[in-house]
Amino acid sequence: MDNIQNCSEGSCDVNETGVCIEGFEDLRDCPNFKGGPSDTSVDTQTDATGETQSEQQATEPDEGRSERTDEERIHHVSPREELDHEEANAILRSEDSRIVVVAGPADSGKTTLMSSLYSRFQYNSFAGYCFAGSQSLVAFEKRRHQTRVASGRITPDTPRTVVGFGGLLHLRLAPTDALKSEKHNLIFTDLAGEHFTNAKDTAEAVDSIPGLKRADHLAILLDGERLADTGERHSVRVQAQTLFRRVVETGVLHRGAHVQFVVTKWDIIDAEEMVEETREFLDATDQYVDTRFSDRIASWTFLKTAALPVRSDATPPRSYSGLESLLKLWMSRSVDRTYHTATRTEPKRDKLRQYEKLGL
Amino acid sequence: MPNILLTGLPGTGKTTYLAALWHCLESDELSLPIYASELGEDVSYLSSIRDRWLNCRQMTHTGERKLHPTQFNLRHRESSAHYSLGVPDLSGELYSDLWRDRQCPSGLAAAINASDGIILFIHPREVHEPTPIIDAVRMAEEVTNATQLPANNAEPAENQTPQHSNTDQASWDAESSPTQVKLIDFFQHLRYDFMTDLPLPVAVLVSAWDLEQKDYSEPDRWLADRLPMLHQYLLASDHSLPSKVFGVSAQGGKLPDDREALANTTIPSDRISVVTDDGSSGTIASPLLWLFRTIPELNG
Repeated sequence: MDNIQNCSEGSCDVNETGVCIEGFEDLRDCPNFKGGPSDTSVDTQTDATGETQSEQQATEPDEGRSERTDEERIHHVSPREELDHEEANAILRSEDSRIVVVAGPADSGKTTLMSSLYSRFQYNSFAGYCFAGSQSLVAFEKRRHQTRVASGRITPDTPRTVVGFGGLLHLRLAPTDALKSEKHNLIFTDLAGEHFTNAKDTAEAVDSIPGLKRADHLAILLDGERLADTGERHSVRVQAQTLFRRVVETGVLHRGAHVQFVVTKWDIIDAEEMVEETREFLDATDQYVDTRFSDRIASWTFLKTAALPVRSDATPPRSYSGLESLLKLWMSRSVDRTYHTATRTEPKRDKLRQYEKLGL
Repeated sequence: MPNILLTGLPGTGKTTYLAALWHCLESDELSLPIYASELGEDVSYLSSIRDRWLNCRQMTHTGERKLHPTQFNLRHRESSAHYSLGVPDLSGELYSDLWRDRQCPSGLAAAINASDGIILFIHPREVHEPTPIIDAVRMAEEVTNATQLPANNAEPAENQTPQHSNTDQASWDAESSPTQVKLIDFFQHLRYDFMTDLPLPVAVLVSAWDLEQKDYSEPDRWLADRLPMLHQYLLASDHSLPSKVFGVSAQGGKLPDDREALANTTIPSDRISVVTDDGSSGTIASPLLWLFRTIPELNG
């Protein structure tokens, strides 16, 4: 198939002219170039940059190979940055894996949630799992940088995912009670919030969310800081509901997938003493899903997280509140691909159990 | 022959161990289960580092990216088995370059591809653990609260913490990443980016173990506490990277402070102490012997 080219440099018209504005004769050398043969692998969706990627990576130098120079002096290894589709598919084919699409508007805490989960394992095993590797190790480290003193910051943060960047992140985990015999993979999408803002408004944009078609889980984030603001909370809730509805109605999300509504920055809600009020406020979302869409997904659950508390007295250190429950949920369920019918005798709702367990 | 690759970031004790090991195997002072059966073609590098060790001098560390191929011919005292052991000594900078630049010289790649076992060195004083901002803020507030003026002069603690800005930020530097992440990255290279045969046994040596002995009796517990992510990774990778942790003090003390006392040791080999993962005593050859028992090609 023909190459579909794309350039993240808005002023470059390489798509039309084939000429790189930066002057690179070989487009593969340009850091803005995202082109490549079309994707014919399992995930046939367009990716976040609006192009399909092929399983053929003939234009990329192979990792694990020495340069074929006359002297063969340099050996390249994998950059361990965000996964491309080929790497993701290789993982999906090799071991038990789950795809988690983490969705939400800008600054809702998507990248923070994923990178905090990775970081949690730097202190101990977690939620019954040990860290068994990551093919996006460097990508995670870059995302953690602004939480560390070395960044020069005085408050921790996570770099904002820019449109056209981000990608797929990977964690490989082993259950602590089956370390040698079992391995499980989580593949996350890490996309700029603008993608999800567009997706809730246009059906076409839903197709640009990589991994959604094969997702086991869709985690829709609600910004706790904005929920705590009475002037903003209604739009936060409606945006989440609309995104959910869009994803379900387009049929891209498998009916056997699981959905989580995750309230992030819970430390702020806690500090504002709005726990009960927030819970009641989100009852409307539960009703929204229950009355109209309960037969379109396998389950939906409400959870809370405080993955990167800013205030030093907000939560106990390294508690990573809520992440344990979320991880256990992701690891305990995968998409039920046998689920096709629209009929169901009982809604698969976890709200009550989760409310009781987590006090959300 | 088994090729054992000494790996580890700069300053972690690889060359000191090699020097002490060569002395013990060649001198046979300790009547270890293995000994050097012959000198070999060229032992000039081994001799030079052995001399420095005998004279209780620190190994020179120029920062140059070098590879010193070395080879021992060993015999097992009990079984009479012969081993022609290759132990290339590579500069730690080569491994840190691998993390930062995502590439390495072909010499390192060749050594890795040829290795049958790995000895990974970790120095307790070279373990880098980035400080989370939130921990630094808490510590600053605790210090501030502890030195707070009497109530009538006090300001709220948060107003006394240093007021800096988030605007002057430093971009990510690969060197700032945690040590355990760099080491996990190296092990992932072994599994995915080089042509190593798996399973590939890994002996983890906590060097300068004498510095940690008052707090830890078991090197495995030290690894779990100080590098927990690496510990998890090795536990989960037992099938492809079987591992065992040792605590080793190849110098026997801290240089140059303890030089005089160390130089007065009658039998130089007595300076060395080794502890296996569960805290039991071992010898400087213990990591090698474990590797010999674990390398598939040596055990049919």
